[in-house]
Amino acid sequence: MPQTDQPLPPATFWVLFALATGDKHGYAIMRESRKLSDGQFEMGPATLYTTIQRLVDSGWIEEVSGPEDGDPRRRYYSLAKPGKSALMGEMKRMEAVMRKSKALHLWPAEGKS
Amino acid sequence: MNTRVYRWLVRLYPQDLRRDYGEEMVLVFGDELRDADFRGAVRAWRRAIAEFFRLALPAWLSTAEVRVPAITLALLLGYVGGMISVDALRQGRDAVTYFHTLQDAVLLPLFFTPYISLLAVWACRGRKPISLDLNEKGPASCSNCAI
Repeated sequence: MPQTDQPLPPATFWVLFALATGDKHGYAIMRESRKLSDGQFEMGPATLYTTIQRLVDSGWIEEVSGPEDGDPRRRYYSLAKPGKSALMGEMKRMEAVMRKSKALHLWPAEGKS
Repeated sequence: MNTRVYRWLVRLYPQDLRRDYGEEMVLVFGDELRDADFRGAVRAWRRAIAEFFRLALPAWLSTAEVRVPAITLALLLGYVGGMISVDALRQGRDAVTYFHTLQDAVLLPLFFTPYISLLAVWACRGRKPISLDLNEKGPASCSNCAI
């Protein structure tokens, strides 16, 4: 079971984030995570499915039935409640870091680099 | 063709991942190649190979069936390599010229021991993995071979 009190590994975070925007099959998760990260995060099929396997096993995501006209070879995945709370926890952690860095003037003001 | 090569690579991943997601991994890799231009395809292959070394190889090497001959092979190659280097240095020759004249019949049988080890471990396939933990209770050998 992945720990919720620890920062999430990048692949776990991006898979959960991609599924937060709706149910998806593997390739759609891969594309969505690339899009959400502005191309900063890319993963191959092995990283993707190793992560999916771990998340399914721990109940963070679950398999759902896809659209009727979809490719039967593809399985669709949906964000489950524990996965959603883990994602929210990670985002809150990020937000806290941002807040602190801004308070300490470590974060550059808009327009400056 | 490309997905056929990748399918072969998938066969080297841990069995549970291969069984549950192997087909989808090939499918996704095919999708990636289909949607990518030449540079994108190169990137996809580079990622696939990096993933193989990061995910499949450690899992594969962690199985006792592979670990035993891998360690044996590494030790023997290290030993033979060390012997050759020391001997070559002693004779004041570089390794390349030394290899041309290497006729040492004593060292040659050493090269066969990893294969014997591999054969023995292959005979243990499908049985309880051989434990390298000396503190573990129970026999550290399998029933049908001498390891």
